[in-house]
Amino acid sequence: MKSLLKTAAIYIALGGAIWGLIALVSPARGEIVGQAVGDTFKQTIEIIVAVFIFIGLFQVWVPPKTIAKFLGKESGWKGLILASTVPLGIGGSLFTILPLVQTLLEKGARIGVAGAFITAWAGKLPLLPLEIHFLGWKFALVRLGLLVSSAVIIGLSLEKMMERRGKR
Amino acid sequence: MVAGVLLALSTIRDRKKTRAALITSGKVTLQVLPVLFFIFVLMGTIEAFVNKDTIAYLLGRGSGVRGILIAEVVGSVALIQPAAVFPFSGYLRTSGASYGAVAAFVLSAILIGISTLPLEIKLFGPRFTLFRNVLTFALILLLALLIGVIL
Repeated sequence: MKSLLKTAAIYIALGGAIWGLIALVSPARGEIVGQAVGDTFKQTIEIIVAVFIFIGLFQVWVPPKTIAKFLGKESGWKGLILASTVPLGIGGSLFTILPLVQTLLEKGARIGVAGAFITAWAGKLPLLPLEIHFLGWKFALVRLGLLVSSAVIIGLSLEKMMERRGKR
Repeated sequence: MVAGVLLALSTIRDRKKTRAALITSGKVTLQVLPVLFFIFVLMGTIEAFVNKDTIAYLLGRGSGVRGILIAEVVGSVALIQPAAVFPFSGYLRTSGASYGAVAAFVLSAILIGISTLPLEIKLFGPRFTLFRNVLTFALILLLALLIGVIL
């Protein structure tokens, strides 16, 4: 919690400093920055609040740990297909997802599953409202479809590469 | 709206869980909102100093593979929360970046992290890390090209 506040303060201070510096050097440009910040904020605050609520609900109703337990046991194609769809619902950044995938491997999942899992996780379903809002539903759907269908390829290639090097 | 309905449903099903959800939401807010503020300032700064033509030239339709690669490298180096990726990408798009370049930025910002490399090496070893990042980088290039063709 404390480190959370600290990071928050750093970002706000950093943003404020850049803005302040610009306004100091060139007030006209500082005004442009201020306007951009205000406009974007007004345009996005509603959707952002909604997404934050989504993320919270996802987290408790579909806890990542349960997903990991569930996936560790599955093998073969079923495991790969699950690994390229299930992670779509998980939030967080690489900092939180990598440790999760590591527990997956510890529970006996194959490398292909781990690779597919990380790739598919970038589908970011909880953020879908944001993506549609900013980039349109066409972009969101195409990106999602391509990513999900290529997750298995990444997983299997990664597995092959690891095995080949391991035998030498 | 939808979030409100879901929240109400969740409250009816299980009060305790809903409270936990709201605490998570609060934490995420605390984590992401300051980053968003920073990103917004960055967007404003770009707006104040960089000509839109420059963005369109670097990342626009005519920039092709080079534009995608620029976006991908920037995305890989950028240290931002996934939730903050989309507002910035939307800004790039309205400034004239192509869909391909935007896709390259979105995917690499989420999936490749210079800042998470130490953690990844610690958890999975250097070989896994190298292979995964190289494979992902190649995949993103391919997907970005495809998205550019489709959209």
